[in-house]
Amino acid sequence: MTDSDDDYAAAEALFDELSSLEKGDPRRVAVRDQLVTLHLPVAQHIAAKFSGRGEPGDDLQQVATVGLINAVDRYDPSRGIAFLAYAVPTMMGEVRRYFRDSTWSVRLPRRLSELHQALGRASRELSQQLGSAPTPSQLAHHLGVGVEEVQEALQAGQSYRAASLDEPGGDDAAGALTDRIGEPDHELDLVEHRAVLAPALARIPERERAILAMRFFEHMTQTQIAERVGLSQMHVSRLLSRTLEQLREQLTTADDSTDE
Amino acid sequence: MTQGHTSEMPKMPDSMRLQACIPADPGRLPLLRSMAAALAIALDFDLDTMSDMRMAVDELGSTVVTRARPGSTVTCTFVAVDAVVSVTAVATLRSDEPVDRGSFGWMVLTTLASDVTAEIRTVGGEPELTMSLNVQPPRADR
Repeated sequence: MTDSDDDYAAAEALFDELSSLEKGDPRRVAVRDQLVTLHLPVAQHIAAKFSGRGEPGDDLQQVATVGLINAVDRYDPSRGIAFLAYAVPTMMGEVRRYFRDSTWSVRLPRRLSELHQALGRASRELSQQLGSAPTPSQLAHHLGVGVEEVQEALQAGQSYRAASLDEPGGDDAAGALTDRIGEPDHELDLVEHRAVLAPALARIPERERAILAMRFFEHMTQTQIAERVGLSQMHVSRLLSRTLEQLREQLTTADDSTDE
Repeated sequence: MTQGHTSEMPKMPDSMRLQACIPADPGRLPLLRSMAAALAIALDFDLDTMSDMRMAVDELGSTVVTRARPGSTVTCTFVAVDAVVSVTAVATLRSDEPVDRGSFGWMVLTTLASDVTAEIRTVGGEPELTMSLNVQPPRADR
């Protein structure tokens, strides 16, 4: 028997177990995690295929994993379709959506958009080397391009529309993702005015909430957060700015209505 | 092998000052955000500090703009001395209610920046708010 046959049998047994468990059973989480872990190589393979260079970007891998988690959650073994036959199109769909959504909101010269992508990769590599986020001149040196080009690309990156994963409340996968990351038990309650803050926070997707807590309660840097959640620093930066903006809007409205 | 000094990096002057006067309208806040980002890029701040600075200025600007008297002007000044940027925003207020230091917004500001201050004075019979903060990359810390 090959490994994949073993995996196949293991997956089948796990899905049987999952469907036998009650909705609130804590064991469900563990079984679901096992199923996700078991199929992670498939998600990685799909991400690699789409990245076109054999080495998938973290974001892409994350997106494929989201598709996998969705597939695990929605798969119904009683319908007689093999899990992979169901999961692969789901993962590909998620990756395609990512590409469709991560277009530039302002049309950029190809040179700049390529450079911006290269910056994402270079910033990951350099952060690991340096142990902190790189500067534009370090990025330029690393990539062998002029500082001014890097500055221009970073400035242009401001108009980059966040990818589908960034869309608030887009799907329930965001929650699933933080389950997987293991959301630390944060002291979000400790802030004063939590009565105002709590409902606003409740409207923020779980993953964004976790990132927010890591930055503002655990005082992690964005680079550290990026490493923990498996996204790029630039992606974390976009998520954080947007989350703060949402919170501000909601809190301002709350302030106006209570008017204390 | 990578030491971030390239010969083409222009030598920055010791100090710079940028100023924007915008209407007290949240729709104009992106201008301050862009200025913050442009300045952080020009100062060769690392990506984390760059993003922190942009968010801090966003929060500062929004705190001041939402309190400012409608129709008034908010003045925002960025002063960069060496690798420290001081940002100050001044506006005439609707009321003299102090800025809440227990709020989430204040916590955001003090996480992203240092030396955060908010003072209300009476100028010409009207309450005027001055908020300021400093941002600097971690290297510049002693």
